[in-house]
Amino acid sequence: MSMVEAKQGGLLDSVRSSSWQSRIAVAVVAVLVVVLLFQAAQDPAQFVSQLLVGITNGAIIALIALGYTLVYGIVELINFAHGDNFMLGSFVGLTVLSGTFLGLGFFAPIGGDSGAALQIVGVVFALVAAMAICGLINVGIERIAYKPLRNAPRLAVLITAIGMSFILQNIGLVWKGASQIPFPSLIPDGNALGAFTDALVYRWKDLFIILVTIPLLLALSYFVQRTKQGKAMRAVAQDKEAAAMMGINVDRTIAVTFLLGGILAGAAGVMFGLFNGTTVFNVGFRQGLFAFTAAVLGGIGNLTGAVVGGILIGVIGAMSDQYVGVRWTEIMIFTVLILVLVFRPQGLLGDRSSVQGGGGERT
Amino acid sequence: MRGDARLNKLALPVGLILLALVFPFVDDALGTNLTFSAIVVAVFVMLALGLNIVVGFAGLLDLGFVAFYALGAYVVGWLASSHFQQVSFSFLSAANTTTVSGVEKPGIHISFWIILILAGAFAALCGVIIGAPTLRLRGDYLAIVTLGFGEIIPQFFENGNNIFGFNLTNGVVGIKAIDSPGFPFLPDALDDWQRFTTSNLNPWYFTILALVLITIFVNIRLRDSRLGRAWIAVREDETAAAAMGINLVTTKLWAYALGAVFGGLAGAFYGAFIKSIFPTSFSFNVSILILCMVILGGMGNIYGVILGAIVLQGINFYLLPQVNEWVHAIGDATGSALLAEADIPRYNFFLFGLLLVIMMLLRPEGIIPNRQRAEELHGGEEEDASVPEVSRAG
Amino acid sequence: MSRRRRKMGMLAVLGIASALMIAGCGGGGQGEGEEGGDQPTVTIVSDLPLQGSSRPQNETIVNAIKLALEQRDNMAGDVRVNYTSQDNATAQAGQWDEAKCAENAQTAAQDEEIVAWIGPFNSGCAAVEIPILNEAGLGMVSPANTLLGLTKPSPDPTEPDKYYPTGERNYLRVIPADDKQGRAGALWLDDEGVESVFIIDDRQVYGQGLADQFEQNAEELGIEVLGREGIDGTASNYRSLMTRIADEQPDAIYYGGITQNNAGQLIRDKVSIVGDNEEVIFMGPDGIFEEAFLEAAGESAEGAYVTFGGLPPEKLSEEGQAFVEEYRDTYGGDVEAYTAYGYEAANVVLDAIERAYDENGEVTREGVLEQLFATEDYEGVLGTWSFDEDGDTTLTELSGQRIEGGEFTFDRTIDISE
Repeated sequence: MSMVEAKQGGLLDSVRSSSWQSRIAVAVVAVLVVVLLFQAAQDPAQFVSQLLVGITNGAIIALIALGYTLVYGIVELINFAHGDNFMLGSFVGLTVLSGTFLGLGFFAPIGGDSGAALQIVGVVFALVAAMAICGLINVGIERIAYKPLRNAPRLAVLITAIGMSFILQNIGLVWKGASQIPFPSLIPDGNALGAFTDALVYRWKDLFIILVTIPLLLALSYFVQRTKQGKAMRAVAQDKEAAAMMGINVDRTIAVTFLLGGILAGAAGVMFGLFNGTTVFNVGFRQGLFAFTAAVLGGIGNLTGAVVGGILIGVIGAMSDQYVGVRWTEIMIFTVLILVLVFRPQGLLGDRSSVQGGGGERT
Repeated sequence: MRGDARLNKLALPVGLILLALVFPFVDDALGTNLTFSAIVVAVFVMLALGLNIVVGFAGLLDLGFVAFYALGAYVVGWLASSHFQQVSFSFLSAANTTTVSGVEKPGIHISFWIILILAGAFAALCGVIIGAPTLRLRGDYLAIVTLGFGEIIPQFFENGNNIFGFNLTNGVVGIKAIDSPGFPFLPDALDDWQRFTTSNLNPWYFTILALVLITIFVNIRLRDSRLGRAWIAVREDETAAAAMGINLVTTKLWAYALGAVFGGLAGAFYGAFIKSIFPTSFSFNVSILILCMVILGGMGNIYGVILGAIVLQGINFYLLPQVNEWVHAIGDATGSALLAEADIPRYNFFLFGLLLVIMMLLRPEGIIPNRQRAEELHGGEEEDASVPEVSRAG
Repeated sequence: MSRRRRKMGMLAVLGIASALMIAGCGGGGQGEGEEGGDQPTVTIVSDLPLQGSSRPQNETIVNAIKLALEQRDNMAGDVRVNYTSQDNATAQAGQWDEAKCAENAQTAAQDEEIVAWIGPFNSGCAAVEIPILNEAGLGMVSPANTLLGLTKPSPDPTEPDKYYPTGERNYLRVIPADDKQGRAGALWLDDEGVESVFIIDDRQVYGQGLADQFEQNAEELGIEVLGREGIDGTASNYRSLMTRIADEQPDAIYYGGITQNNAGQLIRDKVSIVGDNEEVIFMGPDGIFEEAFLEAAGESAEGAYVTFGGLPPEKLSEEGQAFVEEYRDTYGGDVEAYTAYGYEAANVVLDAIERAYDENGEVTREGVLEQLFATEDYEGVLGTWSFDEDGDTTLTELSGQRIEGGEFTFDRTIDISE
């Protein structure tokens, strides 16, 4: 079938062998891009501002998307609880910064008026705590709700994942209440480019997101590509039984994967809170949905794909807010998703290639 | 012997149908007020059976089934209410076409029974339009595309109050005061059947019961048909099925369209029953709930899916609201202030999730598993999967 | 062996659960109040969403109704009143559910003990319930529905008649409808010399309806409307929207919506990108007139304008202030935006029951409904007001607040009758 060839060939080949649906999809995407560029030319400053907003929002989505894609790559499960784990991450960060837990005050709340050094320590401490706790939560969820069902029908695990998502959401609701809760403003809101230009606004907050995201991505990439455990992950993703025969501890490898996903979710949670300034118990649902979409858009199981997908969704969102209308943004995002998948059924960058160590084909 | 076995096989379904037929009268006699919930549960049974065709029979994970439910509901909203004020058109409608003050009602008012057919057809058409370009996707890519449509369609209804100035869906406010169904030609003695009222739920109940029975019948017939076997083949191994000469896209498209029909019918009934439709009623949550019903009950098994729908809606509508009272009663009885004043509704979502997890851990194949699927799991994996299913439900 | 045992266990669990369910259903709803002599006993119910994110708000309404009853020792004059709080939300939806609304209405319609209905909270739910209860002749008093078309003609010509199949009215509300608050907002902005405004709503029935009314009034007053957008209440932030609004350079931004749809995030991004609230006014309705908004918005809330369909607690009559204090003493927490309306609704209903009994010697739905509409010059916590023939409050004095030092500060009374 043409689809199989398309997966192996490059972009040109896939166009050549594509069906009429794909060509329509490409045409629609092309028209959208042209219209967008035409709009951009009329007010370049506005376009660039929106692009920057989109990239920053996309970076957070990308971090969450990585958790989906890691887990999917290895156990083929859409981990619905992941978005809610991200929400708990932001709550953990908030609790750390407040210095109070279970009614016990450990230290004074770290807020906007604390000293600069204390603020930096606070941010780092909040990030580390959230990463550790969310990582453990994710491992715990895997142990309780997914591992016993490893040989059950694939969709059974989907339901326990949904169940866990409800449970985590309710924990968040009981923990912090139903309203949006504020995060202390520890990252300055001023313009990082203020020294150079006034026309363009790039805040320290935006810079912060990028400065935390890039090292995390590099570390993850290093871990998956270079370490022994990373190799084991790739082996298990490719073939569990063969990996087990080679002496790889499959259970442990899967647990490590969930740990990594949770760590990223925790980091994303704290960054989300510090960046936006508020968080709420059901924030994981929408963010999780977008992140999962991003993972699929980039090619599920593909780490680079998740990042590209996340940033793309952020940018599409910002452009749609500017040029189409906020109320149509979600429709735009999902329309692009569908068009991309019709054109490239395996996602933009092909699925599972980096976790599996190359090759987009999956059966 | 053989006759006895056949009789035994029929005994359960016949017994259940009889039970369903007398249910509203028993409910009335006992004063338990369960008929309303039974109707809502029945709507979800229909939805679950519709989704079962897609997920259970053909093995296509559909995360956006709510789209068809919404489409069906909006069809009844468009064709049986005063929504389109620009026109005034009635056709065999059971509802009063004049207002209390005697003015003719604006809008389109068509007989509910015709709308029911239109809603099913419209949902099927949309299923084909959505499915045709996307069904060649495999596995979870298809799932995410259905999720995309499941998000787009309710959003579209939400924003549809101003499509280039035209009010198609009335936006978030929704379409309200939808006409009641009925049989206007019946004698006056049966006035509750002439035009269904909110005070007598029996006509509603028997209508949805008939719809559910039709759905079950079609499900059974489909499962045992040539198409049904093709679905199973596709579900078990796409490549092998294609090699055997099954047209994958057409086969999947049939599953998608037929599933959509029942989604549309359920939506149309629900819209007429509640008399109002809101885009917010068709969120992703509902897709997930229906999917849970199918998987929890036992994918592919008709009894299982029905039971799944009843159990989950029962938990949602009855068990969880009751838990609060039980805990308070226990607290009062034992003198524990903690229990007596516990605020259980706060934890309902938690309990719902916990029940899902526990039930799935206890019965991974569903409450009543599909026998063939169970064999695949517990028997040898080499078993020929395309052997037609012989099920107890026949 | 083990599979069979598990199966049995599961069946047993299900069996017990269903048995309990039936027992629970059968047991509920029986009158538990002691019958004292020939004292007539009636029941009133409230119908509010008690799950998900609107729970805290609605819990205070339930508390306020209980408080109103306690203050009268559960008596409306010579009539003993039982109260049942119904929940119209489901766990799965996490919010009000139209099927649950219809079911509650349906069940109540058949229970002759019930003579009055307080609620619902959501206008959509009201649209489902009114026709059902209309046929049952049960009077409803809502503390929170503001959708104009429920009682008065709206741009949809079939409203409000389509909600009342019998042609008789049975629905009243103690909260001013959208037209009043929308007008109050526009008048206030006009007074401040605003020439252009950008309107945002939260794409819900309440927020969108209010924004519609505001838009209409703003245009009538000659304020230029630069744009209108509907936000997603679960979005992570609104920075791209605000970047766009900043480009339009409006004098003011009007938000029609509630706190829970991310109003705190909205105003944070507004201050960060468009400018502070002195530079570009931010105005919102009573949906953000609550502590939760101040908390979520933090310092960004400073200087924001908030309209309210009544007078704030410290400007209320003595009665109103007494209510706020008593509420605090009884339930600990603070009152929310709709709590006072819940209290007012309960008192109006109880007074109507009392008068219905005094007049007719018995309490019927018909009698209570008649007395509800007869409520005149009622001196309650919101001020002195009556119901008009559509069941709307006659209050024309709304209040404007500004946020100063992290608190709502009364700024002015806005009289919309002019």
